[in-house]
Amino acid sequence: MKRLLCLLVIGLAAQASALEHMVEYAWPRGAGRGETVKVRFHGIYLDDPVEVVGYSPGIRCLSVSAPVPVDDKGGYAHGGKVTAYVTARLEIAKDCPLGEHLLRLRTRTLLAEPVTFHVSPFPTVSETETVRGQNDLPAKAQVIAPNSTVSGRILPGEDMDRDCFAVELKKGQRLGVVLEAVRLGTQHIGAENDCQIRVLGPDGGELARCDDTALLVQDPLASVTAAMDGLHVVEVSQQMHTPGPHCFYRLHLGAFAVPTTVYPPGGRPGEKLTLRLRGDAGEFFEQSIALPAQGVGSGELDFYRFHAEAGGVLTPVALPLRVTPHENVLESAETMQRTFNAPVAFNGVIEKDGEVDEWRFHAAKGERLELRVFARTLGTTLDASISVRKAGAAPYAPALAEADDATLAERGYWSCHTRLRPKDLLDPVLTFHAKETADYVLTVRDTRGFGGMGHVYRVEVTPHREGLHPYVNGQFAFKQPRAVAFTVPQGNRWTLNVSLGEGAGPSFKGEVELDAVGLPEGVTMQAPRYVNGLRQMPVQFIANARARPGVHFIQLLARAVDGTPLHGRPQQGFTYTDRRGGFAWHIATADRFALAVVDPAPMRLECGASRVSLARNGEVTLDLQVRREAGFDEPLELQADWLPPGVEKGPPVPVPPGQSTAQLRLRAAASAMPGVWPITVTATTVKGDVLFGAGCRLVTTPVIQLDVSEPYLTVNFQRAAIERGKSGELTASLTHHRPFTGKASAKLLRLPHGVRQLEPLPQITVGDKTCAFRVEVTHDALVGQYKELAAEITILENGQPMRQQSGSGTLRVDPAKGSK
Amino acid sequence: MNLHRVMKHFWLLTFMAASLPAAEPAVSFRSDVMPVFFRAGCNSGGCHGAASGKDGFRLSLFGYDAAGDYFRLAQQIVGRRVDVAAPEQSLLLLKAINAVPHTGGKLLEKDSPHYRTLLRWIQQGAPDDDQAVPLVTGIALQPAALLFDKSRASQPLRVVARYSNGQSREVTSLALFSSNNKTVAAIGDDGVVKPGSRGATDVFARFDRFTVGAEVVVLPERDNFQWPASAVAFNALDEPVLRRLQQLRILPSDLCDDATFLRRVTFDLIGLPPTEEEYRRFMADKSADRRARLVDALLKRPEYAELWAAKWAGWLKLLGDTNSGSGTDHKAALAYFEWLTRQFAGNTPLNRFAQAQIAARGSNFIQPESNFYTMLPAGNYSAKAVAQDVAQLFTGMRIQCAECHNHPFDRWTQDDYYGFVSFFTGVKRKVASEPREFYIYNDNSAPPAAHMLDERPVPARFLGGDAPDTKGRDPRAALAAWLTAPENTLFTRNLANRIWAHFFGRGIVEPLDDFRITNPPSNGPLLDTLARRLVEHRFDQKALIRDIVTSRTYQLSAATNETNRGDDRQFSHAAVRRLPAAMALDAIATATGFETRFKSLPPGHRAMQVYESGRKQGSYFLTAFGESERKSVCADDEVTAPSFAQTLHLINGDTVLKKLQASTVVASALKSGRKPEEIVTNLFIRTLGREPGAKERSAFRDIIGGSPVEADYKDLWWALLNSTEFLFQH
Repeated sequence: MKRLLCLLVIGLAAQASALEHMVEYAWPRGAGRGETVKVRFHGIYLDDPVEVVGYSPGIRCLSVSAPVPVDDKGGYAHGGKVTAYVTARLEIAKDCPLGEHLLRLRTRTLLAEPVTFHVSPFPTVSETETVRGQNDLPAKAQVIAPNSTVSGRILPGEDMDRDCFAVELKKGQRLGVVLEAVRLGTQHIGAENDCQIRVLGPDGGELARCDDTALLVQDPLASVTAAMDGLHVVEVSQQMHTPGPHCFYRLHLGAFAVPTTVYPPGGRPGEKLTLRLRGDAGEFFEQSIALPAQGVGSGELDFYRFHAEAGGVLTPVALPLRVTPHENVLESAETMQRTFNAPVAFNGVIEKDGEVDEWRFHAAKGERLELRVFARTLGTTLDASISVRKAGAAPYAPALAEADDATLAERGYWSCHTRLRPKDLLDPVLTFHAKETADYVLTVRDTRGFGGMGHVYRVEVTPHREGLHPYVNGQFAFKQPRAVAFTVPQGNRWTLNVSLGEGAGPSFKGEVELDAVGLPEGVTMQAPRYVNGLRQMPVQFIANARARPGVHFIQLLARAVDGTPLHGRPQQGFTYTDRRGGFAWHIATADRFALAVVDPAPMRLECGASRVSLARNGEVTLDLQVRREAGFDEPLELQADWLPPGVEKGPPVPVPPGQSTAQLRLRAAASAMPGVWPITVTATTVKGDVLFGAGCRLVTTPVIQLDVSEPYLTVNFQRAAIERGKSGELTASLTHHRPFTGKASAKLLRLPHGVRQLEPLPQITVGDKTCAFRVEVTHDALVGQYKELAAEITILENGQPMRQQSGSGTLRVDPAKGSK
Repeated sequence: MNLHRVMKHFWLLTFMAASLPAAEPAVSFRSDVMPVFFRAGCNSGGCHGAASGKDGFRLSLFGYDAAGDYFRLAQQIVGRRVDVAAPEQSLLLLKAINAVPHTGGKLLEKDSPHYRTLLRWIQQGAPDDDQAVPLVTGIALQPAALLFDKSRASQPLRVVARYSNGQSREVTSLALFSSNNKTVAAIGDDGVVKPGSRGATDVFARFDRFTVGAEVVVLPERDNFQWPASAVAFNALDEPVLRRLQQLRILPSDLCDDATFLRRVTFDLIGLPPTEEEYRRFMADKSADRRARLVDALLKRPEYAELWAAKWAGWLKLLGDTNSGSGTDHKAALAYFEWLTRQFAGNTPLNRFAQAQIAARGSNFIQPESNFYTMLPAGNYSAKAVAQDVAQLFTGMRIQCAECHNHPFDRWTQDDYYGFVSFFTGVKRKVASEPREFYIYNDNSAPPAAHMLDERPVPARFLGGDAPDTKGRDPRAALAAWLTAPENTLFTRNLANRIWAHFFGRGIVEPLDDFRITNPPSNGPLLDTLARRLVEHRFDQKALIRDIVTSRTYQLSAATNETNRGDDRQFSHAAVRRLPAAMALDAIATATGFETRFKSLPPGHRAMQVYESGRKQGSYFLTAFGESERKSVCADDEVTAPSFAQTLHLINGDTVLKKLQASTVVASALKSGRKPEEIVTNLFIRTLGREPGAKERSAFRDIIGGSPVEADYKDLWWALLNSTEFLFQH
């Protein structure tokens, strides 16, 4: 029933996922540097917890407790449940990177989906309110020491809770306020945690109010300077939605500056820059830094997260800076007259309404350049559109190329589903193919015609490179373990569909293989070759019995078989807080895959043959054998999760308790893509979310080579007529396309009512030219002409029955002679 | 048609042309024939002017497509509708005199001048006009105004048309006539005006694409009229009103008493009834300027801004949608409502208020006025729909008729229409930084609107004005500047009328967003004065409102006298007006002290503060009381007419009963030891804004007895809440 509901939801709406998560949410939602905190992971299937691991350094799991049952009637719209929580003691290093971390809970048998956890530079203070009203008014505000992070919650219900916190300030002191709410991505659906803040002076006057920001999108920030001594109140409230059950937030209050844009927005590795920072209230200040000397992350698409510092206090929100090896050009009257060669990065500001910046670059005939804008990606206020014209062209000459917005893939979100709308999509990406060797002019403007000091941008002009980027993703539920989790039982196999994302511009069309980097000892990868332009293939991970249980972060890289250099950036995207319409409010991406080796599974799955043939327009049945461990008698379900184009599968095959064999039928359409394809069959336990995999033990068969080919033979029927009450023969000529061994049996399909084929079925050998089918027509048969009779040919190949269909015959049923 | 028949017609035409008397003037298709169709109603919407024609024959509606009409009449089926070989056998003529079956019946007499005009045209070979045919440039009525004093004799009107060649001719027999109020003055097909009962109205003549009106004033036959010396103007707004009343021999009502004024002006300015404290304070104030000071205090209240935000929210179709992929999200709707509230709280000049929205661009969260372009199109963007709504909102004119044909009751042509649409063809919308947010911007290179008839691009042109240079620019900026210029009376008269209507229950032009030649103001000088004051105040709405509510006209009593009992257009007495839906619900909540809760809004929200209307939230009360559904910009989407359902709901529905039941007002009063007399007085003030009269006190004392309990008071209170006096402004 659950499955039907899930399918219904997917089929009808394709919006809200109906799926269980092992971990629905974690609480508290973050901690301060140097703190040791207890974090509860709420969810289901949390038996035998072992550890919590993070994708990035700085958070160490000291211990996890046994699960504690809870009675949570959360009513999660996506179908999730919370039956227990596990408490993990986490130690936050003093130099832990600030901001968002991805944490995953591992049990002895499962790896949970990642949850976000946020690290601040300040100590954490918990909100004390437990019943609405305790801190709703400024007069009841909870007093907080400056440079603290409040861990709070808008209480659920129609009462529309609001929370007030007070900070004692002296006249002239700065108060920075930064809220994390939507960015926490706490709940998948139903926690529209869109908060706003107000800052009130000691006299109750409103000093600042903020709801959304260009930098943080739905989350607010503010900074004020005290005009008088006294308690200044910060009020947090839901902007409009009735609070859901998990409207958690983290409120940073302190003497920090709140810059919202930085110029220049990037530089070269190791370069010393004097950054000009612009605060939310429009004030400027400068800070000198040295960019990291080494490349950032794994590729040039990464960012350096810069935290400004004022008066020795770090700003808790990061400003992203680009660090690339290109020539870093800053806007000036001189630089905008010069012509540059790629690779180069242009940095500028559209300061006034209607302003158009022009940059000159040189390109050789046939050269393909990628022009990539960074503005909204960096959180600036510019909605850029760009165009390229030949230098010296008339002012109103049509552009050679222009772009306004970009696609997910162009912006590097290959692993996120299509209804995602990050702000980055407003930054255009243009692949420019120079038709002649010349100087060209790149124009940058605001699509809306706005200008301002916050309209900072950077355009990186680089030679186009073909890229293929490995990622895993579910079609719909992007956190479903069955589709995206690398969880391999010791001594067993697990197979995942790994896709290759294409970036901007033309992509590589040749054959590709995958390399794995960082596989733990005892684990191997069996990856097929990506051929015929296919961008998704099943990749198998095999853990031997000695592989050490634990979580290992691996990378998968695409390599061209013909040696063409490819650049690639593996990615796994996690989408949090989906809203109606399937639009995500928060995403996180990881550039490594978390591969977990877990305790042995109680079953193995094998196929009777390692290679099976499947003719176009034919069927094949896979004989599957479940090897159960002693004492394991649970029901299972079998399914093939990846099949080549044109090959279809039937419904999942149940394996009842006590049973160890099953058959899975595959069918090839007449247009199925020929070739030898690696397929696997998955066995899953059914205690849990079978469709999406949460709570299930999953193993796969060794790779089965599925040979999709032309049919062995064609059956050409001759027309026949048989009277009612009599038997007769349908004859057919046979055209052989390829040899087979042994005998094939032939069975008629689509016979009309009252007509049946007589035993024995015809047996065909490779040398037969004709075939006769004996049929009997009863008096019940209706007189008339019946078309589209077909023959099903069954051939035993490699011990597996392989069936194909062929022919289109006509049988006329006549009345019995003498009848009226 | 075969060649033989063509040649036959050719020779016949040649022969007939040669045989025509030389003195016979040529009949013009456009100047003579088409006016006959217009006068006879052939090209009206109910006949052959319908979009698909009638009975297989189509004419353009009111003759907007002369070339097409000529083709269909004379060329589409040669020899049938017009037969130059046997003119009198032309189907056109046979149908017109009903000699053959004609759905429209007999329209012309065979001996009528109009029949003869058509016949002569056909006899002359049914020629089309050459390029030089003079066009009608305007028409005039003679006399321009009519006064029926003691004489009741009918008076004729003459219609004279002016042509582009400088000539004029009388077209009375070809014009169509109508009256706005046949009870006051009727007008026949011959243009003769017949007076009726006392009053003022306008009669109109239509010819070609022009309509002109003449005011008709009908005075009483017996005149013992005496203008009271006390009826003097309080300010400039009163002068045209009083002049008009004197002209019509109507006496204004007396001034209303203080309690009535307090309740009226409090509801009108902040949408709430006065509290007991406010009542007592005002009634105790004996200063001469107490009413003016009250007005100033109310204009500073935040509820003032919320009331006008709600009013404009209704006109602007402000609604939110949960499906942010296709609709405007609730968050944007809320942002827009808050923006509106800020404008009225800050008293943004109305010209800037309009400019900001018309030329809006940017994020519909950060620049919420850009929701002007997410609300008006209500779904997929349509330049036409936006142009129509902008015209209606900011000029009070409905131009949509001119999309398909020249406006039949106004001056707007299709060229005017598509020229106005061209201001909005470049407006674009795209998803911004998050799924609920849109950016609005203008594509300055977008082509102008294409004319419906011939697909030719029609450059942006102001209504009745010039074509600005918009090349490479956002044309909406030029439009906003032109529209809101102080000298643009389309804008100032519209806004002045909208504001006036709020305080009097009807506009000087009514419906208030249907300005057209055939719907003139009931007092033109008053509207002009009001518009002029708005400009003098530099579009300061509060200043204009202060003028209005401190005028004598606003402070008149609702009680009528012998002369003004039948007046509902000249503002000679206060109109009895039902409270608008949200105001009524807030009044019940305020009176009972038990607030109404709305979904996803914090406690303390009044109906007037619900950004997308409480009706959208499923409030039965607001639905029954006609709160606007915000489906169009039409002001009359907000219905204030009383209905049986409203009465039943007040009596039996859960709004009054629940609030009464939950109210602690009486219990608190009893607990604090207030006397029955005091409690009754308090309930009267809370509910009706006045103290009970002696008779009422006595009657209630008899009903509730000597030692009433809480339930007794609540019974009394229920009766007050269900009284007509509570629900109506007076």
